[in-house]
Amino acid sequence: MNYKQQELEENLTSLIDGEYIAPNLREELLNRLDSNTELRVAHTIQTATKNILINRKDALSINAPLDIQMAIQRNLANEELMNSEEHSSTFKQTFYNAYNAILAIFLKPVIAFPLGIIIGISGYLLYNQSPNNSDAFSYVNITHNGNDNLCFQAYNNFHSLEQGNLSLQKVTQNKEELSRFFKEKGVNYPVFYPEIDAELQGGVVSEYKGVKLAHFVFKAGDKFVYMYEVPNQMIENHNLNINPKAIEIVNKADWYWEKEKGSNNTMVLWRLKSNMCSIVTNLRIDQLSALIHVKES
Amino acid sequence: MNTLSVLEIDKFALTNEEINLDTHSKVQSNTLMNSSQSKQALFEQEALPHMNALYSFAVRLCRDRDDASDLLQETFLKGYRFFDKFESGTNCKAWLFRILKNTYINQYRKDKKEPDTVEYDTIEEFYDLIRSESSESTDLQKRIFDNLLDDEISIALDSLPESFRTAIILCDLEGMTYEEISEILECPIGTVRSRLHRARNILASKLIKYAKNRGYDTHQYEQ
Repeated sequence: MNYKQQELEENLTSLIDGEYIAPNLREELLNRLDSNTELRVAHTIQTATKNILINRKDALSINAPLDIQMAIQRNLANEELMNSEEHSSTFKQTFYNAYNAILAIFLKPVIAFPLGIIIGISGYLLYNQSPNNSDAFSYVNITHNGNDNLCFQAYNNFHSLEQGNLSLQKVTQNKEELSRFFKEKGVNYPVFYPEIDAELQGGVVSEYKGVKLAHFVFKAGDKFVYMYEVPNQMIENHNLNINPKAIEIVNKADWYWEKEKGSNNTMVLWRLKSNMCSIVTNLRIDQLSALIHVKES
Repeated sequence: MNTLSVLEIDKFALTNEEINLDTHSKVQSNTLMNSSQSKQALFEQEALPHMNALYSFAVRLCRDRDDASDLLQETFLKGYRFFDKFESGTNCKAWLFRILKNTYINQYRKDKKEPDTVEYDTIEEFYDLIRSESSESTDLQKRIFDNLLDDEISIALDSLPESFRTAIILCDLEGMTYEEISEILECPIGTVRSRLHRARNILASKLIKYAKNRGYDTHQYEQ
């Protein structure tokens, strides 16, 4: 095979791949395919080999395991958290510097003495005019409109569980027995159990918008792992809602992980066959993800 | 609470309006948080859909799933950290593949003992086998290649020298153009073309050998 032949064959590869080749070269290649045996052989090999890979693409592709997908999401969340903390400490430093500069001005005796008198008189007047000074700052009302939100409900239920305000209706470590209990209590969708390294404690049935829903409680060591499992249809019909951002992540990456703000609780959301599941626990994200396996039973 | 007892269903009421939870609805007032959140959202939108393709490529590069998992995680972390360098609207997939390939070269490949050489003898031998025959590619494919098992094709693909393996995976499995491949592999388009040509020749020779070992009639492709 001389260099010319090699060059022709490589350009033939471009032709087969639909890449650009100069019009005159293209024409020459097409003409030579009829008369040049070696070029024809090259065409046969290149085309057949390309086609077999394209045809077997699905079989040759290897999907990222779910635990790796989860780990990546955790890494991104941690990265985001670290960024926020960096921004926060920068902000604190700036604020501290400004505070010191202002303090230096107000500590000058010519300003500090009259200011102290003004503050004292104002404080006295405000205290006496306040209609209910003991309650003025005792309660901060934060409005939430998420009562139909699955995650919101899951958090609340977990809090109730932790505080001892709810207890199991069925205490069992047997999955079949618990499934039978759910069925008897009117849960009319199939319930599935995740593969989780935690001991089943039992379950509870609740009713929401006329639908009986299944709740599971597991224990990992001395930590509760609460799981709320609802049919996907309830989400699709908007009988129950999920934060659009969270559902978008579940759609893309199968799992949505979250650390509850202001606490050490962790929430994970994912689809288990025909159901949507949410686990809430006071384990850390890495601890919880280590417990959950990708298969379900 | 160490033990749970059976109590009333109503205790498990799901309407807890009075409980204040700071989970989803609280508006972030910090503009820095907002900008970083939009970065995260944009990254998830642009990058996460390519996770399986990247993992598949990583497994083929490392030939070890544990290494591939680490490589994939590192790729996404680097991608996220440098996402502000990525120009929105351009080819995110190619950008991530390039990060993965460079990370592999810098951190994973140095431990692998692989002679990255061309098996010219194999190519010539194969050419000699079928040079004098006039067979159509559809015939070769139907008679020989289509009967091969997925595992055989996978093993043959994995056995290619790395530079050829990467080129053929990016072109034929990932459907990338020569320009995209040249950006990922950081080599001229002519080199991409040459590697693809040679990669397919070597792969074809390996596949023919598999078919022959399994008793398929390959005499039409032999002298």
